[in-house]
Amino acid sequence: MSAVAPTSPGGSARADAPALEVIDVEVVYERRDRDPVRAVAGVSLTVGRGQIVGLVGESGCGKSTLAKAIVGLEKPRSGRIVFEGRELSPLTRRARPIEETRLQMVFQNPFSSLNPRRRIGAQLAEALQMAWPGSRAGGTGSLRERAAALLELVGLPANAADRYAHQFSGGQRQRIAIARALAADPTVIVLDEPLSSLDASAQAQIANLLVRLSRELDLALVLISHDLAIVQHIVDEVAVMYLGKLVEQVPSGELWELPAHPYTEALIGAIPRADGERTLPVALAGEVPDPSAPPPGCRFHPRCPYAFDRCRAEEPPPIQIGRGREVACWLHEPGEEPKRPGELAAARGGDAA
Amino acid sequence: MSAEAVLPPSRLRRFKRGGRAAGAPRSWWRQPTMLIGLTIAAIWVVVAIFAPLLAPHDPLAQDFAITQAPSGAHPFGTDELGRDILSRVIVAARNSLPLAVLLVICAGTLGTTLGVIAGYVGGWVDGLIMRLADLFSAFPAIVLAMVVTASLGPSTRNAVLALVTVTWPIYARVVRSLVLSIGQAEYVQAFRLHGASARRAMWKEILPNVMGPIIVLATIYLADALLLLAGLSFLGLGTQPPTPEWGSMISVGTQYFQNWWMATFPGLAIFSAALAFNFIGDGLRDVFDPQSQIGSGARGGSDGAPEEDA
Amino acid sequence: MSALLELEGLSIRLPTPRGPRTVVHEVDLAVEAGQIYGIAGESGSGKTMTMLSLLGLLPRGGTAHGRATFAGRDVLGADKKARQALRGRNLSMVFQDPMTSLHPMLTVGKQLTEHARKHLGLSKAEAAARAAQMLEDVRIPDGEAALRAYPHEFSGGMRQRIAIAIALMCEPQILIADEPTTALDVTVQAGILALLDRLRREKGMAVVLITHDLGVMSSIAERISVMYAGRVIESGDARDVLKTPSHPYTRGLLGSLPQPGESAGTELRSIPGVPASPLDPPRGCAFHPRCALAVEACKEAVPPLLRRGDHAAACIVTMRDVASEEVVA
Repeated sequence: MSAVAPTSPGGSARADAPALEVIDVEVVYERRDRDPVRAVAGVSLTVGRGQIVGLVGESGCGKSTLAKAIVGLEKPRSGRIVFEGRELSPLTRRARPIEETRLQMVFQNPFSSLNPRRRIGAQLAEALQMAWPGSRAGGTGSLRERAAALLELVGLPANAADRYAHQFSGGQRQRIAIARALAADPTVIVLDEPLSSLDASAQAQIANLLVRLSRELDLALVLISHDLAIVQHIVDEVAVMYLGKLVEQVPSGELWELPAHPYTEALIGAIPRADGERTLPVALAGEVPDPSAPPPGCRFHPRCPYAFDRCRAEEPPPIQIGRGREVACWLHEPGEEPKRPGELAAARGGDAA
Repeated sequence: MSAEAVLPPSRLRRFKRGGRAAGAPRSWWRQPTMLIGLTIAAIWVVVAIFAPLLAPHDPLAQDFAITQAPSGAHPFGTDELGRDILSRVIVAARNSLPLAVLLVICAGTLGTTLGVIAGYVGGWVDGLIMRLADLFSAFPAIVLAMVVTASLGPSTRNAVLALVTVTWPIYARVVRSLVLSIGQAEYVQAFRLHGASARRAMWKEILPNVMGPIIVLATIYLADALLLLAGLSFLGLGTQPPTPEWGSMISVGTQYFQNWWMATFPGLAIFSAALAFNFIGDGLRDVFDPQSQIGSGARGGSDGAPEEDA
Repeated sequence: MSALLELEGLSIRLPTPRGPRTVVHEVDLAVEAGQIYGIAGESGSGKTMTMLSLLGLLPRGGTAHGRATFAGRDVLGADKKARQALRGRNLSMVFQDPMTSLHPMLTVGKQLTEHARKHLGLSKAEAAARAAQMLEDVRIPDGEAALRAYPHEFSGGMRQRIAIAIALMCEPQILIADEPTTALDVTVQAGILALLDRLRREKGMAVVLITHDLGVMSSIAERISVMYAGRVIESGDARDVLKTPSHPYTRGLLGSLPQPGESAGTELRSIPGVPASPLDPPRGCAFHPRCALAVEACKEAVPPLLRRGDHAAACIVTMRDVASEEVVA
């Protein structure tokens, strides 16, 4: 899928090369004595400069695997990752070229993403030193100043540098992890469920921090999460993933009112509202299928309330609808205005099985 | 029904932590067993250093007063050649302790090096090293020692050599597994994403985190080393008479069963030293590496689980 | 008629390295038969501990004070045997993490029938039949095969259903569900909530739902108590509390929920600061350091629960109209 530059406020709608292109990436896990699993079954995604893209899906959809494949921690079986115009290869034993280090990652677990035995300042200084190899010349003084500047950027005091990871809360550790990523002067940061391990106030604070950093530093973010409500709030564009494929890509402003894919609609319907009305959220029928044996045709069809014959036979490709939206569903026709699946299914009338 | 049986682990962890941050090292002075261990070990170190001054008699001086029970003149009694056992126990410390340390250092260095290579290089090198480890650890230490000393002749040096060959696999396996698991840790991956080569990651991130557990392991195995050396001497394969050594003293003592003091005091010496090292090792582990499984089998205690204490 | 489960002035003290500390203060609660009662709060608020005390599952050295009665019978003072009878038969609990709350080495069938046989004295065949029925009630397909299977063969959502089935085997009158859906995907969560609602109606069972997620609370709870730093700071009919919250903390919590439809880039609101720990709360009202409405009097004394009809909140500022002189010490 390719998305055009965002139309909502935030990311600049520039015409130059996108910061990151994921092109038809496939990641397969081999398993002993069992069928291999296509955790990511052909995903394409484009991230513009300074754009915040949210990648949303439930457990087992492959979003974490995709995140790792994007930065090179996993080797895709096929497909390409193009970062700032350069083809990116997976990490090997050799040191990554400096240009490629401007693609960074923040991990999910704030407790294991920092070295427990080194002071924070040392870890930041190490990252800075690798980003600017010449900075040895200035002595550690300038490294220390830069580390302090990074900490300030993420809202932590400079003396945090002298402490160890275990002395900080989860939210603070995530800030440190973000600071470390920033040390490489990145243009794109991939964040794998950065908010999941945090409590509600920390979630809000880190989310706001990320948005602010993106705007101030013209930094693109790929934010992976299972929490559609929060993600929709802070990203420019949402990509919805199901069983290894992207089913929809939509600017966040349009997501809530006009989901185009039945799965997106189901996700939204399943989110409970705290409005005091005692309405049960809508449950989605069935269970997520085994990723090693996906259903034929459209992967979502067994659970889709609008499925018809074609859905069972052919897998729908992503098509463009509306302005800058894509969806992979036979209910939609290319080039048409986006409509809710229910409306389109009703219009089909007699065809629906 | 106890809380342990019913409460899910997440809840249990929260209340067993007792105020200390999960996974944080506990101050060493808060551990009574470690203090006991350090005290005893310190005493033995002092004894070993000042042995000639502390020993009331010449450990090699034979006498007609053989197999005397403990008395004023000979608090630990005398052995079958009339030598003062107290003096011999004291002087033996000078032999046994440094040998045990030497054994641990040699085996530890060899094992750690091979373990790092196996973990880092992987592939067939890893396979080869691990099969060698399996091979050498399959031999009972004593049997291998007997083979070595039979071919090279019994001596202290050969005993240490034989034991190094048998004990390096422990270190190699632990180090290799640590290198592999830490290598997968997210902070190491983050480091690699910043442009560190695998080698740089090894030196700066992985090895420092490996050293802690290795020191713990070495300290715990110091006790083992002591016992192994004593065992070899007991069989006459290690330190040769007349040099006093705890193990060989016990060996002789078993032939003089009714003269209980001949075996008991050297035995107590080994026991106290080994115990002391065990306590220190345990304490070190709690200080450096609270989540470790090393040397403990299935122990409970804090496991540093990710719990957000909001 | 008196409530099925009543807590009066329930306090819990736990041993800490610095001596025993009160972590739950003076909780009053009344759950009617067949009612879904929600206890809301963040981690550390004491919500779980309150319910554990009823089941006698406090950590070693913990003590509960005050009064708790079930169908008129004293719970806290009961002896071990009576407690055991209460657990499983009348009061049952389901925990958060379905991955660890089921025994990995016993078949699902064994875990289901074990309880029933002990508490109800059923024969093997009777218990098995009941278990199969229970699995059907919780909508686990192919019950016969499921009985012979092990927990690891099921997904998280299915395991939680199994945990609920186990809890329901002895037809308890109250099911306590502690964050039952927090570890699950949102679509799976919707299924579990629907299940709880349906079971409640079919079996006339009361449910005490403990969760930090106000959305989940809003979906099925009829009455809510909100806890903060070990105290109930607001309680009332769910609709009232969620639509017109009276306590600044509840307002803050509701306000921090991301609103659908707001355009990207607007900041997420959150309550400033970090939640107070029940072990070391601020003086006076535990929430005052984070509260935009705090006044001097808030620092002086812990505000009592002030009632406006059925809706109570422990805040002297927002409940000013019902506060009396005795409150401000």
